[in-house]
This record gives sequence, structure tokens and C-alpha cells, in this order.
Amino acid sequence: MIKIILAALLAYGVIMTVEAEQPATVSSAQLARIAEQIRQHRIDVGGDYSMNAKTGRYHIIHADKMMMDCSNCHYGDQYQPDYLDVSRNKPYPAEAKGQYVRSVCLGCHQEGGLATQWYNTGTR
Amino acid sequence: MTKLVRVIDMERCMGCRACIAACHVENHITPDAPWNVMIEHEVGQYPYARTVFATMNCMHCEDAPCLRACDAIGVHAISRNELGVVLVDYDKCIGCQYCSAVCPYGVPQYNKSTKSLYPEGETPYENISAADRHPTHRKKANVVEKCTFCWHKLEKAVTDGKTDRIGQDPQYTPSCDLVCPVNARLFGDIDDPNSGVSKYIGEKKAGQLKKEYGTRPQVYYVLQGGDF
Repeated sequence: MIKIILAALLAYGVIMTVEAEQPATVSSAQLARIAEQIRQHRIDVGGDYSMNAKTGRYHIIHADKMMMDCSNCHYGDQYQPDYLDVSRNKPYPAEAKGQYVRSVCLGCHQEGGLATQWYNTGTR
Repeated sequence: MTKLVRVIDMERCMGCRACIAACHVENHITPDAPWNVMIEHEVGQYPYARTVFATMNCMHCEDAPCLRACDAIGVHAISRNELGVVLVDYDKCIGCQYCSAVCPYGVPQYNKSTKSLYPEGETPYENISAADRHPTHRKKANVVEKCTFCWHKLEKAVTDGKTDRIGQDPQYTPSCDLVCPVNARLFGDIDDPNSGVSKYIGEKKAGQLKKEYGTRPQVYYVLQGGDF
């Protein structure tokens, strides 16, 4: 009897572990709701306006709350040819996650996107 | 209305970096935060390979994402003035670098320190006290800096009532645009159909970079080898 209970508990544990490892799938509608709640300060994203990955709001919002994977933005340690910066030919800092693609931002941060609009604001 | 724009002709630019040197001297640039930089990349294949040069400074976008981001977080350190020049107030900047993150052109530069450009130490020119400098030249560590279209010169034109001389009179024209030995740079009022920039943009079909972002930059390029 005890063996049966242990086996059942073990099986339950395995199932729970497998379930926990399933990648979270969130619909764009849910993400839009989260984004709105962040804007309304109903979700706490801290008060550190910095690019710091651990404590800065920037990464808390994008990586933790909006569940973006690092590789969504960061593509590696090489600068892309259109990287319009003086540091394009400098070695990329080893501790950094990798250079990021700005065109990724365009998807959400323009009209019709779920994030605060920075681009294509068309104020003319 | 006066709408100031710059035109950079990449077909003429030979990569001498005189504009960058002029900017460094004029604007007390520190090594961490250059306001004008040179990009060069190769196009084509041997034996038809060549190098394309492009100097990059702030685009002074009409719909500047840096300004929007700064306002959105309540810092309001970035503003756009009556001549369309986008400026950073170093006293208000908190160094969050959100402006750098949202700028499609990678323009705002975070100034980690105000050390000298020269390894042997500060020159007398760099030792000018903050009080004696124009506000845009009062360097501070841990804030963001960028090109101001040499606002200290344009501001003088406004004060002197000589805005019509901007782009023509050296004292009212950004320094980088004055020193180009091959006339690859022009500066002036695009709303004046007879201005040099208006004619040049029309004749050479100059365009803006990264239009997909809808930022409406005020710097035009005569592109060689396509957008970059």
C-alpha cells in the first residue's frame, strides 16, 4: 500500500515538474493587459530607471513582466553593419549579454503595438 | 518658419574626419561621449571594392523618440526648441540611458567621466570653468550627451536677430559644417526654397535614414550604396 502511495506521489511529482517546465504561452491580449497595468502602476516594476538587468525597470518590464527572452533583443557579441555608433569597432564587453537589435522595439512601440508609442507617432 | 536641416553627401565624403575634429574642439568633447562619429564600411568585392564613409551626429528628429521616452518617465531632460534643435539638460538628466535605448540611430552617448581627450592631461582649453562655458558645454559625469547642432552658435543668431544668416555666416553655423574640405556638408533652412540645403536636397535626391521609425530626422543624406 505504501509503495502504491509513494509511486503515486512520485508520478504526481514528475507530472508537476513537467508541467512547471512547460514554456509559458501568453496571448498578445494578455500581454496588452499586463502592459496597461504597468502603465497604470498596478504592477510593481521597481523605481530604478536604469538599464541594469537585475534591478532596472527596463529589464524587469521587458524580461520579467512581458516575458521576452534575452535572445529576442540580444543577438551576440558582434555589431551589426547598421550599428550607427562609434563603438562598432570596439570589442564588445565580455560581461554584457550581447548587442541588441533596435528594430525589435519597432514591433511593439509604434501605433497599433501594445507598448508605449515611441515611433511613427505622426505628430505632423 | 525656419526649419534647420543638415545635408551630408556621402558621394563626396572622403572620410578625412575634419568635421569630427572640429566638433571635438568646438564642443569640449570627452572620450566617452563623442557627438559626431565616423562610420565606414566596405561595399563591393575586389577589384571593385570601395569604402563608404558617413558621419553621424544627432538627427534632431521632429518626432524624437528620445524626447518621448524621457518625458514618459517624468524626467523631462530632453527638449526641442523653437528652431527644432533637440537638447539635453544635464542638470535634469538622471543617466538612465533610456534615450540611448530608443534612438534608432544610436546617438545619445553616456558620459561616464569628464576626463581629457588627451593622454597627457587636460589642455588649458579643457580647463575652462563650467561657469564660463555655454550650458551645453558644462560637462558632467553620468549623464547623456549628444550633438546640439552647435546650439551656442544658433542661439547667438537668434539673439542677434540673424537667423537668416544661419548656414551662411560662420559664427552662426555649426563648426562641423564649416570645415569640410570637399563641401560634403551643408546646413540651413529647408523651409526657404532658395537656400542651399533646399536646392541640394532636391537636386541630389537626399533622404533621411531609417524612415520606418517615423522619427522625421532633420539630417539628410545623399546615400552612396543605399541605406545603412
